[in-house]
Amino acid sequence: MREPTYFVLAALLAGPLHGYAIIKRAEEMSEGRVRLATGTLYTALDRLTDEGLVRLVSEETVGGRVRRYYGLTDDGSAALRAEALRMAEAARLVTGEEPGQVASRLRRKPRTA
Amino acid sequence: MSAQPAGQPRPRSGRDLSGVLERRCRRLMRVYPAAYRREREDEIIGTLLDATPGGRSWPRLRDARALITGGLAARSASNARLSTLTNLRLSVLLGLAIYLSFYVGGYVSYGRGAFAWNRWPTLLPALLIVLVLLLAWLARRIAVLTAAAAAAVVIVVASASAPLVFRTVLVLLLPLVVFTALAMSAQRPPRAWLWLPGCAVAAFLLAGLATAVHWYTAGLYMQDIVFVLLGVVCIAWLVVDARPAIGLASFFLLLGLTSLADDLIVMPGPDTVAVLSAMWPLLAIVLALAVPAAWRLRRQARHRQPTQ
Repeated sequence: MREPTYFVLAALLAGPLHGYAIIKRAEEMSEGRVRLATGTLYTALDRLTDEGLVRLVSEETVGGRVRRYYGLTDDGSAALRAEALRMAEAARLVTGEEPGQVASRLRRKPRTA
Repeated sequence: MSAQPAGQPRPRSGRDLSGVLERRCRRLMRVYPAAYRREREDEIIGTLLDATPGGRSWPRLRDARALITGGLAARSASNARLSTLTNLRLSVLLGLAIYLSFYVGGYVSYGRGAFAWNRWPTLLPALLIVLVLLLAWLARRIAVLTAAAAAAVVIVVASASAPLVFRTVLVLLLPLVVFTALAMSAQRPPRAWLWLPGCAVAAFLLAGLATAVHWYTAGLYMQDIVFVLLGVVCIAWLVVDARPAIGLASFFLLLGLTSLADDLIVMPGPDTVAVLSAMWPLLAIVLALAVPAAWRLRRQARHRQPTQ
Protein backbone atom coordinates (compact mmCIF):
# COMPACT_ATOMS: atom_id res chain seq x y z
CA MET A 1 0.00 0.00 0.00
CA ARG A 2 1.44 3.38 -0.97
CA GLU A 3 1.78 6.09 1.64
CA PRO A 4 -0.94 8.43 0.23
CA THR A 5 -3.41 5.51 0.12
CA TYR A 6 -2.49 4.56 3.68
CA PHE A 7 -3.14 8.08 4.94
CA VAL A 8 -6.41 8.44 2.98
CA LEU A 9 -7.67 5.30 4.73
CA ALA A 10 -6.20 6.43 8.06
CA ALA A 11 -7.95 9.80 7.72
CA LEU A 12 -11.29 7.96 7.63
CA LEU A 13 -10.63 5.90 10.77
CA ALA A 14 -12.39 8.42 12.99
CA GLY A 15 -15.47 8.59 10.80
CA PRO A 16 -16.73 9.71 7.36
CA LEU A 17 -15.20 12.85 5.85
CA HIS A 18 -15.69 14.90 2.68
CA GLY A 19 -12.92 15.43 0.10
CA TYR A 20 -11.30 18.58 1.46
CA ALA A 21 -11.44 17.25 5.05
CA ILE A 22 -9.67 14.06 3.92
CA ILE A 23 -6.89 16.17 2.35
CA LYS A 24 -6.43 18.19 5.55
CA ARG A 25 -6.64 15.19 7.87
CA ALA A 26 -4.12 13.18 5.81
CA GLU A 27 -1.74 16.15 5.88
CA GLU A 28 -2.10 16.51 9.66
CA MET A 29 -1.71 12.79 10.38
CA SER A 30 1.38 12.54 8.19
CA GLU A 31 2.83 15.70 9.74
CA GLY A 32 2.82 17.46 6.40
CA ARG A 33 4.43 14.66 4.37
CA VAL A 34 1.29 13.71 2.43
CA ARG A 35 -0.19 16.74 0.71
CA LEU A 36 -2.78 15.30 -1.64
CA ALA A 37 -3.74 17.18 -4.79
CA THR A 38 -7.49 17.11 -5.44
CA GLY A 39 -7.21 15.03 -8.62
CA THR A 40 -5.00 12.51 -6.83
CA LEU A 41 -7.49 12.21 -3.96
CA TYR A 42 -10.46 11.48 -6.23
CA THR A 43 -8.47 8.99 -8.32
CA ALA A 44 -7.56 7.21 -5.05
CA LEU A 45 -11.17 7.36 -3.79
CA ASP A 46 -12.46 5.88 -7.08
CA ARG A 47 -9.95 3.04 -6.86
CA LEU A 48 -10.56 2.37 -3.19
CA THR A 49 -14.33 2.39 -3.78
CA ASP A 50 -13.91 -0.11 -6.63
CA GLU A 51 -11.80 -2.31 -4.34
CA GLY A 52 -14.48 -2.16 -1.63
CA LEU A 53 -12.24 -0.44 0.94
CA VAL A 54 -14.14 2.87 0.95
CA ARG A 55 -17.82 3.63 0.47
CA LEU A 56 -19.96 6.69 -0.12
CA VAL A 57 -21.77 7.35 3.16
CA SER A 58 -23.86 10.46 2.55
CA GLU A 59 -24.06 13.66 0.57
CA GLU A 60 -25.25 17.19 1.16
CA THR A 61 -25.43 20.39 -0.83
CA VAL A 62 -23.22 23.25 0.37
CA GLY A 63 -23.22 26.57 -1.48
CA GLY A 64 -25.01 24.96 -4.45
CA ARG A 65 -22.42 22.19 -4.76
CA VAL A 66 -22.66 18.55 -3.86
CA ARG A 67 -20.41 17.51 -0.98
CA ARG A 68 -20.00 13.76 -0.51
CA TYR A 69 -18.83 11.99 2.63
CA TYR A 70 -16.72 8.86 2.38
CA GLY A 71 -16.20 6.22 5.04
CA LEU A 72 -14.18 3.06 5.59
CA THR A 73 -15.79 -0.32 4.95
CA ASP A 74 -14.99 -3.33 7.17
CA ASP A 75 -12.58 -4.52 4.48
CA GLY A 76 -10.99 -1.05 4.42
CA SER A 77 -10.47 -1.10 8.21
CA ALA A 78 -8.99 -4.60 8.02
CA ALA A 79 -6.66 -3.64 5.15
CA LEU A 80 -5.49 -0.54 7.02
CA ARG A 81 -4.83 -2.50 10.20
CA ALA A 82 -2.98 -5.23 8.28
CA GLU A 83 -0.79 -2.59 6.63
CA ALA A 84 -0.08 -0.94 10.00
CA LEU A 85 0.92 -4.33 11.45
CA ARG A 86 3.18 -5.03 8.51
CA MET A 87 4.91 -1.68 8.95
CA ALA A 88 5.21 -2.24 12.71
CA GLU A 89 6.83 -5.61 12.13
CA ALA A 90 9.21 -4.02 9.67
CA ALA A 91 9.99 -1.25 12.19
CA ARG A 92 10.67 -3.85 14.91
CA LEU A 93 13.58 -5.18 12.87
CA VAL A 94 15.23 -1.82 13.34
CA THR A 95 13.96 -0.61 16.75
CA GLY A 96 14.13 -4.03 18.46
CA GLU A 97 10.79 -3.52 20.21
CA GLU A 98 9.03 -6.78 21.21
CA PRO A 99 6.61 -7.89 18.47
CA GLY A 100 3.78 -8.43 20.94
CA GLN A 101 4.01 -4.85 22.23
CA VAL A 102 3.62 -3.30 18.83
CA ALA A 103 0.94 -5.72 17.66
CA SER A 104 -1.22 -5.44 20.75
CA ARG A 105 -1.02 -1.67 20.63
CA LEU A 106 -2.16 -1.65 16.99
CA ARG A 107 -4.89 -4.26 17.47
CA ARG A 108 -6.63 -2.02 20.00
CA LYS A 109 -9.61 -0.02 18.72
CA PRO A 110 -8.49 3.28 17.24
CA ARG A 111 -9.07 6.45 19.19
CA THR A 112 -11.78 8.71 17.80
CA ALA A 113 -10.66 12.21 16.86
CA MET B 1 -0.93 38.25 -3.26
CA SER B 2 -3.31 37.38 -0.42
CA ALA B 3 -2.05 35.10 2.28
CA GLN B 4 -5.50 33.78 3.05
CA PRO B 5 -5.24 30.08 3.91
CA ALA B 6 -6.97 27.34 1.95
CA GLY B 7 -10.48 26.40 3.02
CA GLN B 8 -11.39 29.79 4.53
CA PRO B 9 -14.41 31.75 3.17
CA ARG B 10 -13.21 34.06 0.42
CA PRO B 11 -13.63 37.83 0.94
CA ARG B 12 -16.06 39.64 -1.36
CA SER B 13 -13.23 41.22 -3.32
CA GLY B 14 -11.93 37.72 -4.06
CA ARG B 15 -15.17 36.47 -5.65
CA ASP B 16 -14.17 37.54 -9.15
CA LEU B 17 -10.86 35.73 -8.78
CA SER B 18 -12.70 32.73 -7.42
CA GLY B 19 -15.01 32.76 -10.44
CA VAL B 20 -12.03 32.91 -12.80
CA LEU B 21 -10.34 30.09 -10.89
CA GLU B 22 -13.51 27.98 -11.06
CA ARG B 23 -13.82 28.56 -14.83
CA ARG B 24 -10.21 27.49 -15.33
CA CYS B 25 -10.64 24.43 -13.14
CA ARG B 26 -13.77 23.45 -15.11
CA ARG B 27 -11.76 23.73 -18.33
CA LEU B 28 -9.18 21.36 -16.87
CA MET B 29 -11.96 18.97 -15.87
CA ARG B 30 -12.70 18.40 -19.56
CA VAL B 31 -9.92 15.82 -19.49
CA TYR B 32 -12.37 13.59 -17.59
CA PRO B 33 -15.01 11.60 -19.53
CA ALA B 34 -18.38 13.38 -19.93
CA ALA B 35 -20.28 10.80 -17.85
CA TYR B 36 -17.78 11.15 -15.00
CA ARG B 37 -18.03 14.96 -15.13
CA ARG B 38 -21.82 14.86 -14.94
CA GLU B 39 -21.59 12.90 -11.70
CA ARG B 40 -18.52 14.32 -9.98
CA GLU B 41 -17.52 17.68 -11.47
CA ASP B 42 -19.26 19.91 -8.90
CA GLU B 43 -17.90 17.88 -6.00
CA ILE B 44 -14.31 17.92 -7.31
CA ILE B 45 -14.48 21.63 -8.17
CA GLY B 46 -15.79 22.36 -4.66
CA THR B 47 -12.89 20.47 -3.08
CA LEU B 48 -10.41 22.11 -5.44
CA LEU B 49 -11.66 25.61 -4.60
CA ASP B 50 -11.54 24.81 -0.88
CA ALA B 51 -7.98 23.49 -1.19
CA THR B 52 -6.65 26.40 -3.26
CA PRO B 53 -5.26 29.30 -1.21
CA GLY B 54 -7.26 32.53 -1.62
CA GLY B 55 -6.16 35.21 -4.09
CA ARG B 56 -5.25 32.73 -6.83
CA SER B 57 -6.88 32.88 -10.25
CA TRP B 58 -5.03 29.81 -11.55
CA PRO B 59 -5.03 26.34 -10.00
CA ARG B 60 -1.71 25.28 -8.48
CA LEU B 61 0.58 23.42 -10.86
CA ARG B 62 0.38 20.19 -8.86
CA ASP B 63 -3.45 20.43 -8.82
CA ALA B 64 -3.52 20.98 -12.59
CA ARG B 65 -1.15 18.04 -13.14
CA ALA B 66 -3.19 15.79 -10.84
CA LEU B 67 -6.44 16.74 -12.60
CA ILE B 68 -4.94 15.86 -16.00
CA THR B 69 -3.54 12.50 -14.84
CA GLY B 70 -6.76 11.83 -12.87
CA GLY B 71 -8.84 12.58 -15.97
CA LEU B 72 -6.72 10.24 -18.09
CA ALA B 73 -7.03 7.55 -15.41
CA ALA B 74 -10.82 8.02 -15.35
CA ARG B 75 -10.94 7.70 -19.14
CA SER B 76 -8.83 4.57 -18.96
CA ALA B 77 -11.13 3.12 -16.29
CA SER B 78 -14.26 3.91 -18.32
CA ASN B 79 -12.73 2.15 -21.36
CA ALA B 80 -12.02 -0.87 -19.18
CA ARG B 81 -15.70 -1.33 -18.42
CA LEU B 82 -16.31 -3.16 -21.71
CA SER B 83 -15.30 -6.77 -22.33
CA THR B 84 -12.19 -7.50 -24.41
CA LEU B 85 -14.39 -8.95 -27.15
CA THR B 86 -16.52 -5.78 -27.33
CA ASN B 87 -13.38 -3.62 -27.37
CA LEU B 88 -11.94 -5.73 -30.20
CA ARG B 89 -15.20 -5.46 -32.15
CA LEU B 90 -15.16 -1.67 -31.78
CA SER B 91 -11.48 -1.56 -32.80
CA VAL B 92 -12.08 -3.59 -35.96
CA LEU B 93 -15.12 -1.42 -36.71
CA LEU B 94 -12.85 1.62 -36.56
CA GLY B 95 -10.25 -0.10 -38.76
CA LEU B 96 -12.92 -0.95 -41.33
CA ALA B 97 -14.21 2.64 -41.20
CA ILE B 98 -10.72 3.92 -42.05
CA TYR B 99 -10.38 1.27 -44.76
CA LEU B 100 -13.74 2.20 -46.34
CA SER B 101 -12.65 5.85 -46.26
CA PHE B 102 -9.77 4.76 -48.49
CA TYR B 103 -12.29 3.92 -51.18
CA VAL B 104 -14.04 7.27 -50.85
CA GLY B 105 -10.80 8.91 -52.00
CA GLY B 106 -10.36 6.16 -54.57
CA TYR B 107 -13.79 6.76 -56.06
CA VAL B 108 -13.15 10.49 -56.30
CA SER B 109 -9.88 10.05 -58.15
CA TYR B 110 -11.16 7.01 -60.12
CA GLY B 111 -7.77 6.08 -61.35
CA ARG B 112 -4.93 8.48 -61.82
CA GLY B 113 -5.57 11.43 -64.02
CA ALA B 114 -9.28 10.89 -64.50
CA PHE B 115 -11.20 13.69 -62.79
CA ALA B 116 -14.45 12.11 -61.70
CA TRP B 117 -16.80 14.85 -60.49
CA ASN B 118 -18.74 14.61 -63.71
CA ARG B 119 -19.26 10.88 -63.30
CA TRP B 120 -22.07 10.25 -60.83
CA PRO B 121 -21.65 6.45 -60.83
CA THR B 122 -18.22 6.92 -59.31
CA LEU B 123 -19.25 9.64 -56.87
CA LEU B 124 -22.49 8.15 -55.54
CA PRO B 125 -20.84 5.08 -53.93
CA ALA B 126 -18.38 7.42 -52.20
CA LEU B 127 -21.18 9.55 -50.77
CA LEU B 128 -23.13 6.48 -49.65
CA ILE B 129 -20.06 4.99 -47.92
CA VAL B 130 -19.53 8.27 -46.02
CA LEU B 131 -23.24 8.15 -45.09
CA VAL B 132 -22.94 4.55 -43.81
CA LEU B 133 -19.89 5.50 -41.72
CA LEU B 134 -21.65 8.49 -40.17
CA LEU B 135 -24.86 6.57 -39.49
CA ALA B 136 -22.91 3.74 -37.80
CA TRP B 137 -21.86 6.28 -35.18
CA LEU B 138 -24.94 8.44 -34.95
CA ALA B 139 -28.14 6.75 -36.13
CA ARG B 140 -30.35 3.76 -35.44
CA ARG B 141 -29.44 0.33 -36.71
CA ILE B 142 -32.20 0.26 -39.30
CA ALA B 143 -30.82 3.47 -40.86
CA VAL B 144 -27.31 1.93 -41.02
CA LEU B 145 -28.69 -1.23 -42.61
CA THR B 146 -30.74 0.71 -45.20
CA ALA B 147 -27.82 2.97 -46.15
CA ALA B 148 -25.44 -0.02 -46.37
CA ALA B 149 -27.88 -1.92 -48.61
CA ALA B 150 -28.22 1.14 -50.86
CA ALA B 151 -24.43 1.56 -50.96
CA ALA B 152 -23.95 -2.13 -51.85
CA VAL B 153 -26.47 -1.93 -54.71
CA VAL B 154 -24.91 1.27 -56.09
CA ILE B 155 -21.38 -0.17 -55.81
CA VAL B 156 -22.40 -3.28 -57.76
CA VAL B 157 -24.26 -1.25 -60.40
CA ALA B 158 -21.36 1.22 -60.72
CA SER B 159 -18.82 -1.56 -61.17
CA ALA B 160 -20.98 -3.84 -63.31
CA SER B 161 -19.39 -2.58 -66.49
CA ALA B 162 -15.88 -2.78 -65.03
CA PRO B 163 -13.72 -5.74 -66.02
CA LEU B 164 -13.03 -6.80 -62.41
CA VAL B 165 -16.38 -7.10 -60.62
CA PHE B 166 -14.92 -9.94 -58.53
CA ARG B 167 -12.27 -7.54 -57.23
CA THR B 168 -14.88 -4.99 -56.19
CA VAL B 169 -16.77 -7.67 -54.28
CA LEU B 170 -13.59 -8.86 -52.56
CA VAL B 171 -11.99 -5.58 -51.57
CA LEU B 172 -15.00 -3.32 -51.05
CA LEU B 173 -18.33 -5.13 -50.75
CA LEU B 174 -17.09 -7.74 -48.28
CA PRO B 175 -15.54 -5.15 -45.89
CA LEU B 176 -18.75 -3.08 -46.16
CA VAL B 177 -20.85 -6.12 -45.19
CA VAL B 178 -18.55 -6.93 -42.23
CA PHE B 179 -18.59 -3.26 -41.14
CA THR B 180 -22.42 -3.20 -41.24
CA ALA B 181 -22.65 -6.47 -39.31
CA LEU B 182 -20.32 -5.13 -36.59
CA ALA B 183 -22.23 -1.83 -36.46
CA MET B 184 -25.48 -3.71 -35.70
CA SER B 185 -24.36 -4.45 -32.14
CA ALA B 186 -25.84 -2.49 -29.23
CA GLN B 187 -22.49 -1.01 -28.13
CA ARG B 188 -21.77 2.08 -30.21
CA PRO B 189 -18.23 3.33 -30.88
CA PRO B 190 -17.40 6.55 -28.99
CA ARG B 191 -18.23 9.71 -30.95
CA ALA B 192 -14.76 11.04 -30.07
CA TRP B 193 -13.41 8.50 -32.58
CA LEU B 194 -15.26 10.02 -35.52
CA TRP B 195 -12.37 12.32 -36.32
CA LEU B 196 -10.14 9.30 -37.06
CA PRO B 197 -12.07 8.04 -40.10
CA GLY B 198 -12.80 11.74 -40.75
CA CYS B 199 -9.04 12.38 -41.07
CA ALA B 200 -8.71 9.30 -43.29
CA VAL B 201 -11.54 10.52 -45.55
CA ALA B 202 -9.91 13.98 -45.73
CA ALA B 203 -6.47 12.47 -46.48
CA PHE B 204 -7.76 10.19 -49.20
CA LEU B 205 -9.95 12.96 -50.66
CA LEU B 206 -6.93 15.27 -50.81
CA ALA B 207 -4.80 12.52 -52.34
CA GLY B 208 -7.63 11.57 -54.70
CA LEU B 209 -8.15 15.15 -55.85
CA ALA B 210 -4.41 15.76 -56.16
CA THR B 211 -3.92 12.66 -58.31
CA ALA B 212 -7.03 13.57 -60.31
CA VAL B 213 -5.39 16.86 -61.31
CA HIS B 214 -2.03 15.17 -61.92
CA TRP B 215 -0.32 16.19 -58.63
CA TYR B 216 0.52 12.57 -57.89
CA THR B 217 3.54 13.10 -55.65
CA ALA B 218 1.96 15.88 -53.58
CA GLY B 219 -1.17 13.76 -53.10
CA LEU B 220 0.79 10.75 -51.91
CA TYR B 221 2.90 12.89 -49.56
CA MET B 222 -0.24 14.39 -48.02
CA GLN B 223 -1.69 10.93 -47.56
CA ASP B 224 1.50 9.63 -45.96
CA ILE B 225 1.78 12.62 -43.62
CA VAL B 226 -1.80 12.15 -42.42
CA PHE B 227 -1.15 8.46 -41.72
CA VAL B 228 2.09 9.10 -39.88
CA LEU B 229 0.22 11.63 -37.72
CA LEU B 230 -2.64 9.17 -37.15
CA GLY B 231 -0.09 6.54 -36.09
CA VAL B 232 1.57 8.93 -33.64
CA VAL B 233 -1.80 9.97 -32.16
CA CYS B 234 -2.96 6.35 -31.80
CA ILE B 235 0.27 5.37 -30.03
CA ALA B 236 -0.01 8.39 -27.71
CA TRP B 237 -3.65 7.41 -27.12
CA LEU B 238 -2.45 4.08 -25.71
CA VAL B 239 -2.07 5.87 -22.37
CA VAL B 240 -5.84 5.73 -21.96
CA ASP B 241 -7.18 3.44 -24.67
CA ALA B 242 -5.79 0.66 -26.86
CA ARG B 243 -8.66 0.54 -29.34
CA PRO B 244 -7.68 3.32 -31.81
CA ALA B 245 -4.22 1.73 -32.25
CA ILE B 246 -5.81 -1.69 -32.85
CA GLY B 247 -8.22 -0.03 -35.30
CA LEU B 248 -5.36 1.55 -37.25
CA ALA B 249 -3.40 -1.75 -37.18
CA SER B 250 -6.43 -3.64 -38.53
CA PHE B 251 -6.75 -1.03 -41.30
CA PHE B 252 -3.13 -1.55 -42.38
CA LEU B 253 -3.58 -5.33 -42.14
CA LEU B 254 -6.70 -5.17 -44.32
CA LEU B 255 -4.87 -2.95 -46.79
CA GLY B 256 -2.06 -5.52 -46.97
CA LEU B 257 -4.45 -8.44 -47.38
CA THR B 258 -6.36 -6.75 -50.21
CA SER B 259 -3.06 -5.88 -51.93
CA LEU B 260 -2.03 -9.52 -51.58
CA ALA B 261 -5.39 -10.66 -52.96
CA ASP B 262 -4.89 -8.28 -55.90
CA ASP B 263 -1.38 -9.52 -56.63
CA LEU B 264 -1.93 -13.23 -56.01
CA ILE B 265 -5.58 -13.91 -56.94
CA VAL B 266 -7.15 -11.11 -58.98
CA MET B 267 -4.17 -10.22 -61.16
CA PRO B 268 -1.50 -12.83 -60.37
CA GLY B 269 2.03 -11.86 -61.39
CA PRO B 270 4.97 -14.12 -62.13
CA ASP B 271 6.96 -13.42 -58.97
CA THR B 272 5.08 -14.49 -55.82
CA VAL B 273 8.19 -14.18 -53.61
CA ALA B 274 8.67 -10.54 -54.62
CA VAL B 275 5.00 -9.81 -53.83
CA LEU B 276 5.27 -11.40 -50.39
CA SER B 277 8.57 -9.71 -49.54
CA ALA B 278 7.06 -6.31 -50.46
CA MET B 279 4.59 -6.86 -47.61
CA TRP B 280 7.25 -6.73 -44.85
CA PRO B 281 7.15 -2.95 -44.24
CA LEU B 282 3.37 -3.05 -43.89
CA LEU B 283 3.62 -6.03 -41.56
CA ALA B 284 6.19 -4.13 -39.46
CA ILE B 285 3.77 -1.18 -39.13
CA VAL B 286 0.93 -3.52 -38.14
CA LEU B 287 3.10 -5.18 -35.47
CA ALA B 288 4.43 -1.83 -34.19
CA LEU B 289 0.84 -0.75 -33.55
CA ALA B 290 -0.73 -4.07 -32.56
CA VAL B 291 1.83 -5.37 -30.03
CA PRO B 292 1.74 -2.42 -27.58
CA ALA B 293 -2.02 -2.08 -28.18
CA ALA B 294 -2.64 -5.77 -27.32
CA TRP B 295 -0.57 -5.34 -24.15
CA ARG B 296 -2.62 -2.28 -23.22
CA LEU B 297 -5.94 -4.00 -24.02
CA ARG B 298 -4.93 -6.89 -21.76
CA ARG B 299 -4.30 -4.44 -18.93
CA GLN B 300 -7.67 -2.77 -19.61
CA ALA B 301 -9.38 -6.16 -19.37
CA ARG B 302 -7.50 -7.04 -16.17
CA HIS B 303 -8.82 -3.91 -14.47
CA ARG B 304 -12.39 -4.56 -15.56
CA GLN B 305 -14.91 -4.90 -12.76
CA PRO B 306 -16.49 -8.37 -12.75
CA THR B 307 -19.99 -6.95 -12.18
CA GLN B 308 -19.89 -4.71 -15.25
